[in-house]
Order: sequence, then C-alpha cells, then structure tokens
Amino acid sequence: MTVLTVEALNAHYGRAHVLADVSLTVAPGEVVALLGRNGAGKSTTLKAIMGLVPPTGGRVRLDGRDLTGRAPFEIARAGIGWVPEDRRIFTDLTVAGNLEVGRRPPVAGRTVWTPDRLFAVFPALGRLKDRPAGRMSGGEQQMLTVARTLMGNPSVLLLDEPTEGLAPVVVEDLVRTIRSLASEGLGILLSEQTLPVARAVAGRAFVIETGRIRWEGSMAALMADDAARARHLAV
Amino acid sequence: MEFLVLQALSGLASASSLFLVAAGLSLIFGVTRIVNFAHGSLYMLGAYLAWTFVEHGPGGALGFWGGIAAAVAATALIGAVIEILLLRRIYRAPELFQLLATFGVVLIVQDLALAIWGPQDLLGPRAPGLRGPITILGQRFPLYEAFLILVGPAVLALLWLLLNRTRWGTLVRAATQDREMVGALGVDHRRLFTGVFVLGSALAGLAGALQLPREGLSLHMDLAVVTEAFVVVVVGGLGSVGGAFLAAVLIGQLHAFGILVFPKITLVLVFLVMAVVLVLRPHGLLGRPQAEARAPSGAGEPVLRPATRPVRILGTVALLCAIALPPFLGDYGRVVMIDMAILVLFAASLHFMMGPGGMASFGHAAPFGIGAYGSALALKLAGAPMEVGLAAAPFAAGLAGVAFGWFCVRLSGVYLAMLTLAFAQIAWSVAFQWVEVTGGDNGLLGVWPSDWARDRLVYLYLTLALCLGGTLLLRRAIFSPFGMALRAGRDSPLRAEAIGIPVGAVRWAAFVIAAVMAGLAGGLFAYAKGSVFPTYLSISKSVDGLVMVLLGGVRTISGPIVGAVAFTGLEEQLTRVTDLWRLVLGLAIVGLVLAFPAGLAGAAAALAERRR
Ligand SMILES: Nc1ncnc2c1ncn2[C@@H]1O[C@H](COP(=O)(O)OP(=O)(O)O)[C@@H](O)[C@H]1O
Ligand SMILES: [Mg+2]
Repeated sequence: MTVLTVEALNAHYGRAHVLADVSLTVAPGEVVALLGRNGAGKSTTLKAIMGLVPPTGGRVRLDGRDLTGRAPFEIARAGIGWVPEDRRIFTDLTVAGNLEVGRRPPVAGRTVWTPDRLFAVFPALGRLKDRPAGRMSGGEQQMLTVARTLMGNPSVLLLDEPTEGLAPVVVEDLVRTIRSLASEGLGILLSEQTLPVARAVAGRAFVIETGRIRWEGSMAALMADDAARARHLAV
Repeated sequence: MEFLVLQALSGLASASSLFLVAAGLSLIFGVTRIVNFAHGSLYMLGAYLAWTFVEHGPGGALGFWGGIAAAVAATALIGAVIEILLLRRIYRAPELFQLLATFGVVLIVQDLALAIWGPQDLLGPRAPGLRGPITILGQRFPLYEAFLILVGPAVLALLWLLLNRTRWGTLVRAATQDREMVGALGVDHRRLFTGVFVLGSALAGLAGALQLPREGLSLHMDLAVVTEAFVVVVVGGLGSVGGAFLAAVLIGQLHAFGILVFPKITLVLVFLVMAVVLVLRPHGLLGRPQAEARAPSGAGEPVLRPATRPVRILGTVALLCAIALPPFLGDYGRVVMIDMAILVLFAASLHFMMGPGGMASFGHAAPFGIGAYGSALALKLAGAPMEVGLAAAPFAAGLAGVAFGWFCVRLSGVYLAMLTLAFAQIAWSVAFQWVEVTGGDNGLLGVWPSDWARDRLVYLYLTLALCLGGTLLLRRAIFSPFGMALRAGRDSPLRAEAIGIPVGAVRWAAFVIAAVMAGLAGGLFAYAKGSVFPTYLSISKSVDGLVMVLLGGVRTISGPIVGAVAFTGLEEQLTRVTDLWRLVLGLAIVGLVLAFPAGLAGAAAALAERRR
C-alpha cells in the first residue's frame, strides 16, 4: 500500500531539463530516503511534487488522488507537507505565529496536531513560544519548520536535507523525531546528501543523479552495494 | 508659538489622509509585491463617489456619513474587481509589467471619471456636526481638521489589532515575508491577496472620501496623491504600516513648516528628505531588506543575443524606409516622425538602464526634461545657437545623471525606482517653481532651430541622424565589454565583484550614459516644438517611457524601438479619432499585458524561438 505515488515526473527550469522520469513511492509509516549529490535534483523533486515547480510531465498521486498540476496550496491541503531545505521561517512572527500559519482544520483519519502536542515532541519550542522566530538558533528553527508543517496534519512529509548544518546532538533529536512520526503512520520522504541519517531512519532508498533515479532498493541493499554508493554518492 | 502649534496640527491632519493611502499601498505591496499605481485612482474614486452619494443622499448627518461609508464600500468593491479581473492574472508576470498594468488602470479611471463627473472641480458640503472651529491656545482651528488628526492614529490602532491579533493578520504578515511558503502551507494566496487588496482599496477610498469637506475634487488627485504616498511608503519602509505612519507624520510636518520657511520649494524639500533617508537607510525608516521577492521558481533572465538575421533584415528595411519616406510625407507626417525618432532614443536610453542595467527608472523624464531645459537656457542665458544648444542638452543631462546616479546606484529594485521618481519630481518642481529662470508653468518659448535646419524636412533628417545614431551606439554598448560587465553586475553582483568588475562604478556609468542619451532626445524635442515646459519633466512623461519600453519588452533590444513606435502611433491615432484616448490606451495596455506578459518584441522573440 502506498500513500504517495510519483510516476515519471519531469521538470524544467527554462530550457534546462532537471528531472527526467522520476518515479518513487512512499507507504504510510515508511521513511524513504532520496539520496544524491548536491545539484542532483532532490530539492526539485520535492518542489515538483509540491507543485512549486510546475511538472512538465508525469503524475503525482496521493492516496490514489491525482494532484498533478494543482496549486501548491491545494496540494498542501490534500495532505502533503513540505519542509524546505532553507527553512523559510517567518522571522517577523513568533514561534506561535509560525505554527498558526501552518494550521489547517483536522482531517478525519489523520493525526491531528496542536501546538501543545508539538511542544511535547519539541520541548524547546514550547519554551520559546513567544519569541520572534528570527531570534532562534539554527537547530530551533529547523524544529520549528518541521512543527509548522505538521500543523497542517499531513499524511506525507517531504523533508529536504533537514540535518544540514546542525550540531550532532540536534541531529540525534531529529532522528528520534522522524522515527516517532513514522511510527504514528506518517509517510516520510527524506532528501539527504550523505548516508548517516538516512541509514538511521530509512527503510528504502532512491538514488538520484542529474535528475534521474539511478538506483533503488532497500537501505540495507544500498549499504551492501559499495559500487553503487561510490558511483552515485561518494564525495 | 501658538501659530507654530496650529501649523503642526494642520500638518498632522494632512498626515492622516496620507497615512491612510500609504498604509494600503504598503500592505498591498508587502503581500502581492505589486506597486499599485492605481492606488491614487482608488483614492480619487473614493472622493468622487462620496460626492455623488452625499449629493444624492437624504441629506443631514445620515446622508453625509452614510455617503462616506457607501463610498468606502464602493471603492473596496472596485478594488476587488480590479484584483480579480486583472492583477490575479499577472502575479507571475515581471514586476514592471504589473506596474504597467496598474498604470493602464490609472488611464482608464481618469477617462471614466472625466466622463462621469466632468472636467470642472467639485466642491463637497461641510461635515455635519464638525462644522465650526474650536479654540486651541486662543487660536481658531477647524473642528474637521481636529477630527482628521484622530482618524490617523485610530486607523493605525485598528490595523495593528487586525495584523497582530487575528489569524488573517498573521497570514498577511507571513505572506509579506514569503508568500510562496505561505502557499505551500495550504493558504489560498488568491483569497489572501484579494482580501489585502480590498482592505487597501477601502483605506484609499476612505482617505479620498474624507477629503470631501476639505478641498475641491479634481481629476489630478490620483497621480498627485500616489506620488506622495509612494514617498511615504518608501521613507517608512515598504510593507511596514508603522513606518508608513511615521513617514506620513514626517512628510505632513515637512509640508506644514516647509511652506513657512521655503514657500517655493516644499516639494523639493519632501523629495530631498526622501533621498537622504534612502541613502542613510536604504530600506526606509522601519523597513527591512526584502527577502528578495521569491519569484516562483523559474527561468532567470534570458541571454541577450545579437540580432538574428531576420531581425537584422527587418531592422534594415525599417531603417531604409525611415530614411526614404520623409520627402513623401506631408507636414503632419513629418512632425509625427520627428516625435517618433525622439521617443525611440528616449525609450532606448531608458531600456539601456532598465534591461542590461537592471535599474528600472520611474523618473526618466528628468534627464529628458533637463536636456530640453539645457538647450533652452543655453539660448536664453547665453544666446547660444542650436548647434551649441544640442550639445548643452546631453551635457546638462549627463551632469544631472552624475549627481542623481551617485545616490541611485546604491539602491536596487523598487527603492531605486522610487529614488529616480523623487529626483524627477525635484527637477520638475524646480522648473515649475523657479519662475525667474524657467518661466514656471509658462515655460520658455522661441527655442527654434538655426536657419539651415528650420525646414521641417531638414530638421527631421537631423533628428533621425542623431536619434538613430544614439540608439545604435546604445546597442553597441550593450554588446561591448562594458555591457557584459553591466549585465554581469545585474545578474549576480557578488560574483561580478569577485571577478574584479567594479559593479557600482559600472552601474553609475550606465546611469550617466542613459541620462546623456535621454538629454539629447530632450534637446531635439525642445527645438522640434520651439518651446520647453515643466511637463517635459512630469511623471506622465516618465511613465510614457516606461510604457514604451515595457510594451516593446524589456528583455529584447529591439523592444524599446518597437514600443516607442507603437506607442506614438497608438497615441497619435487615438487622439485623432476619440476624446477617450486615455480609456482606449489604458484598455490596450491592460489587454496587452494580459495577452503578452513579456512585451510585444518578447512575444515575437518567443514565437521565433518556438519556430527554431
Ligand atoms: N531556480 C532554479 N533555476 C535554475 N536552475 C535551478 C534552480 N534551482 C535548481 N536549479 C538547478 O537544477 C539542478 C537540481 O537542483 P536541486 O534540485 O536544487 O538539487 P539538490 O537539491 O539535489 O542539490 C541543479 O543543476 C541546479 O543548479
Ligand atoms: Mg537541495
């Protein structure tokens, strides 16, 4: 059973063809890694799913419902939550204000998030509730951007390199959070350049290079396939 | 002392209306990133509608205040229609196209208002209940003015509550910072934008309606108020309501006291303050650097290529026609051709700074008009003949370009555009108010060409030679190493600096070159008309230039030429066949922007691209 199905997705920036027939699936409660070097097309894949970059071919389905060509806000309402790599916190608003922007009405059959529930998952945010988001550390901002997206009660979460630039302790926190979110039934597509975090949370992996999926399989199989890792990932 | 207090109070009263207009403008810009030229038109509509509703209402207090409320509601509704029918379709178009479209709305509203309410100024009734004067410090002060003083802070407080205490306000503030992200979180940006636009329109309508008991209504209210509101918004910081209030108070006081100290140059004073604020605080008093307006991800600037063969052949044919045609034209045709040639150079010079330079100017009339005055003053003050006058024009404009450019190239985007507008307004008010030298509104007459060039045909060839020469020089410059450096600085200033391009100096030089060429066009225009007027420096002249460049397409090099010819042709024909030429032109502009968001030449280029 899958919740998110991406079929032969294509995308262009002007005339540059940056995604070529990208296909992948995510099941409920599953963490899937999208791995690739810098510039491989990971962020573009997530943005194309989200409708932020208009797909020039292919399909995006959520629970079987075709979302291709919809506006980003409709895709978000349908249940896809996107956490951008550059966080894009609303620095003028408080932590609570940021969460408010993400809030959507509850949907039957999906986990309903409230600020209080999120503060239980991210205790630091609870303490900083009234602080302007611009005056938080990078790690706190990363927590906030995930929490803000969860306020929309998504059924699939697209996480774009969430651990980039974070201190190791914070990364550990985030790894735990990702696991517990998945255990509640949320499907997660996690983009990463490096293996450690993906290895800790993901069951399956797709490896992307120059906009094409070059390898797919279980995380364990990827760890066993030295040649594939060297070809597509090693720096 | 008492007198000064009263003066300050009347400054506060004007500040209130200014704040209402500016707050709406600022909110709309913050969320939609559209510089809404039509905001002044909404203000004007608010005033005229209030006049109609009050005039035809039941009379008395109910009639008056009910009329004001009805006018506000009607203006809000008109705002909704404009947003839904027009702006909603062009949020993805380039910034300047949106500006052009809103200017189209300005033209449409001007003619509609003229048709509905007629050209004469209208006087409204006094406000019931607020008629008499009150006494402050032993001096009489109009009660209505005192009421207005309270309206400003009251609206500020309400807006603050709305923005800080409601979900809608939170969304607006978030969208002001990053609207794409807000959309990705499931917020329907269309409804949000419509809401903000309606709120802004209602505020503009309220400001206009409240003018009713204060001053006569005229059809010039729109551009007058929108320029001042731009100043307030820019001084206060784009998107900041509190900043708009602060700046409105500042500007209001400046007007009130400026009139006592420098009765002739209050306008200059206002714009000087704006220039100083922008240089010291490039994002205004309370503004913050705009997270560079996150354009929906997409293509960047296309590469400018030298003309392709078909374009070059077409250009050569057009050029040959232009050279061969004049002897067969009547006098009227020659006059039109002179105007066209001058405007081609004017538009090409504006394009040079806007396109490759990436510096949009709302005040390109400044170098044009300064050039024209340069020629005329060379004649009036030194008795210089046309040959000298035509050299004085680009020289004077170039000098102004050096001075203005020094300030302007420090800024970018809308702020830069506003600063150019400010300088153009300064130049305009000097020409308008320094009657001893410039003749003020009466202008300078008798600026005729030398004897050998007095024949229309000869002057046409002289104009053609200079304008085409200038335009070709500008094209050359775009593909020269200088032009490359300029474009590199536009596309990626940091990288350009890193490879050793002095970006600031290059931009400054481009600013001056554009000014010199516009000055030459202005000089030629002066001799063509035999006279010089402050209107050569007016906003509408600047806007004509923008319309030409944008109509043709800022991203192509032939754009300004096509645009200038299309624009003069259109305007010339329209004024001949209809009184409502502004309406038709406005509709044409709006239609063109909706149909070709990349401009005429841009659309042609895209077509050619597809053919390949
Ligand atoms: N806005 C954009 N305009 C043009 N090209 C882009 C844009 N964003 C990304 N690219 C290009 O698309 C390719 C994929 O980028 P991206 O999806 O960001 O890669 P990743 O996230 O894997 O690092 C890269 O070659 C990048 O240079
Ligand atoms: Mg990326």
